[in-house]
Amino acid sequence: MASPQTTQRLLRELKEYAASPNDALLHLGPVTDNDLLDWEAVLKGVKDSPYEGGLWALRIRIPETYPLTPPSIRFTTRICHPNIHFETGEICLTLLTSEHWSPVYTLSTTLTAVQQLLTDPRPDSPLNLDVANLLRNGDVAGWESLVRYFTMEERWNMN
Amino acid sequence: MPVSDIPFAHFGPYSYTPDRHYFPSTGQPQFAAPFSFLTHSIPQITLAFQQGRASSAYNMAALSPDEMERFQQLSNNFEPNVQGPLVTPKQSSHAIADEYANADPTYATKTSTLALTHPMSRIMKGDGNCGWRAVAFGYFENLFLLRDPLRVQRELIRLKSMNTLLDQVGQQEHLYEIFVDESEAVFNQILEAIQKGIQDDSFLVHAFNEEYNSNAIITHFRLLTSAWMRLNPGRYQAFLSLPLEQYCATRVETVKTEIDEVGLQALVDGVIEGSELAVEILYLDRSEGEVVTPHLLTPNRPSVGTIRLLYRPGHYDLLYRPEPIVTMAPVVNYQYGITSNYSPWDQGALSFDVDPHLMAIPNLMMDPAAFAVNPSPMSAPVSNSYRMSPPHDLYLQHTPPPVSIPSPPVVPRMSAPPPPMTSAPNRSSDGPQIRLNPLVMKNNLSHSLPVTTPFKNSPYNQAHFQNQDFEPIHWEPNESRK
Repeated sequence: MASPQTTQRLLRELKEYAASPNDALLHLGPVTDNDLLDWEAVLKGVKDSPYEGGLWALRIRIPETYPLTPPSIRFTTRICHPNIHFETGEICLTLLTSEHWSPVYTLSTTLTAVQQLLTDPRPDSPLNLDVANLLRNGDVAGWESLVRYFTMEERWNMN
Repeated sequence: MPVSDIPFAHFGPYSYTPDRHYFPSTGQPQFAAPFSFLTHSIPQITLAFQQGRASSAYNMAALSPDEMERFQQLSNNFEPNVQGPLVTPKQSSHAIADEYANADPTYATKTSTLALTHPMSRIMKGDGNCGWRAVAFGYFENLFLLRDPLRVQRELIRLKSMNTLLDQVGQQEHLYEIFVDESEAVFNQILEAIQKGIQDDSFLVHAFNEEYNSNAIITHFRLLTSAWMRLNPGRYQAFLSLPLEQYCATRVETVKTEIDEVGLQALVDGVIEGSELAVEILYLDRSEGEVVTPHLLTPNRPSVGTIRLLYRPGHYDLLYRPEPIVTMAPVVNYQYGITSNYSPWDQGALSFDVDPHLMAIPNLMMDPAAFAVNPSPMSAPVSNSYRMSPPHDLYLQHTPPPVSIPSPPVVPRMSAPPPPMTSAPNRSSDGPQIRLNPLVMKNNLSHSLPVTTPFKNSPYNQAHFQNQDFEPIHWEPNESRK
């Protein structure tokens, strides 16, 4: 069970998100009404990038000490990106580490950061070596077509 | 609420976009990850070698990408196993001396001296927040020790009014309010304890050992510091290797980033200074000398108490001077005594640097336990006039002279840092026999008045008369005024 402070903070975030939604997201909120520490989100691809038109579902586990510890976020829709694990959806993002997390980030702004990671790949710290190698070898065209393919192929849909 | 139940699109501005600088995980020097990879993954690599995975050479290229990836993972997830409470109860500083007993002699000497000058200490857990925690704890502890409910309330109001700074830099109240609430809770605990006449500070230690509360208070102080820096960029930017905004976001507003000198100064300037508390750091390093090097972070002015930090490279703890013994009263501030010939007291008129440490030394004499037999004041060794005294000579006896001068407005400054030993006097000088001990007491001056090196040229220094080469300055009519 989350501490009162964590609950209070999450409820405030939820309210804040409803009042001013995030352009990068299609959806953000708890999976069920019963567990405030288990959220889901749907992220949109950035326009004018190989990820344009894409939609990915993400699962967000919120620790009981949130916001003093970062949420753990992973893609549940497969995505082709050097810093995101293709199978597990794990994300390599500095601000998601306990050392670099700041309590003034919200779930919404953190997901904005995830979206920015899409257009700012870092092939030097890869979780997806195959894609990273394409970029490292300068094969931008190959990388882009691979990304476009998976973005459409794996696109999240509402079922 | 399942995803499928929600309306399909949200449009609208999002209020806050973090700067993209913060995101990449490695490859840029300002992030800890590359360093942690170098330092922390070595054991794992060594382990891999022992297991015969890459026995050929100590060469990163010998590792397959998979292994590299695994090591990177290990390194990213590495957290040093730090033991102990977040804040310990007060304990003897001899523990610190014992830690260094077999270390570098400089450390051994400095720590054993430290155990005399600062007999008690409080150890902070080295979890990346030690500096922040030490200052925050020291702040609240001093408020508790002052036992002034009005002051506590005033401080609470002051800190809460600083919410406007947070608002000014665009922090949102719904994000920071929970941290302010934690600080407020501690203020209220202190008020209650004072009103109930509780002397024991264990409630405060307890509050700071609750991980969540402790970190929430630290976060409050971090956010205030960050806001202060953003609002006063001119004061700090020059000391930073990265843009101030980025520094604040990646080093100050985070939850587990070590405080550095700039951040500490900003914390003191922005959050602590308004409380009239002084903050002093004692640097324990391998610099020359037999005592830790003190540095006052707050301006040199009367303070109601002092937060004393012990700095060892990468770590901060709290230090405490000996408890003042009330029976020692009246406390005579010799410094005011000696300088009362200047009338009126005017710092600007002094030709030498008015060293904040210098002004504070007399209170050293408040510790009766440290009184030692006074070596004959006029028989200081000639050959090594600038010899550093061994620690047991630290405190010379100081019999208060019959004081005809009225005590200055009592400034209960407990701060008594010795001046930095790096400013050692010129050894080639065959000047007066000044025998510098670590606290720069000059014992051949009547009543062992404490002086520091700037004083050696003072016209009031009677030691000049003992120097056979002594020559008073003659005024030459032809010499133009300087």
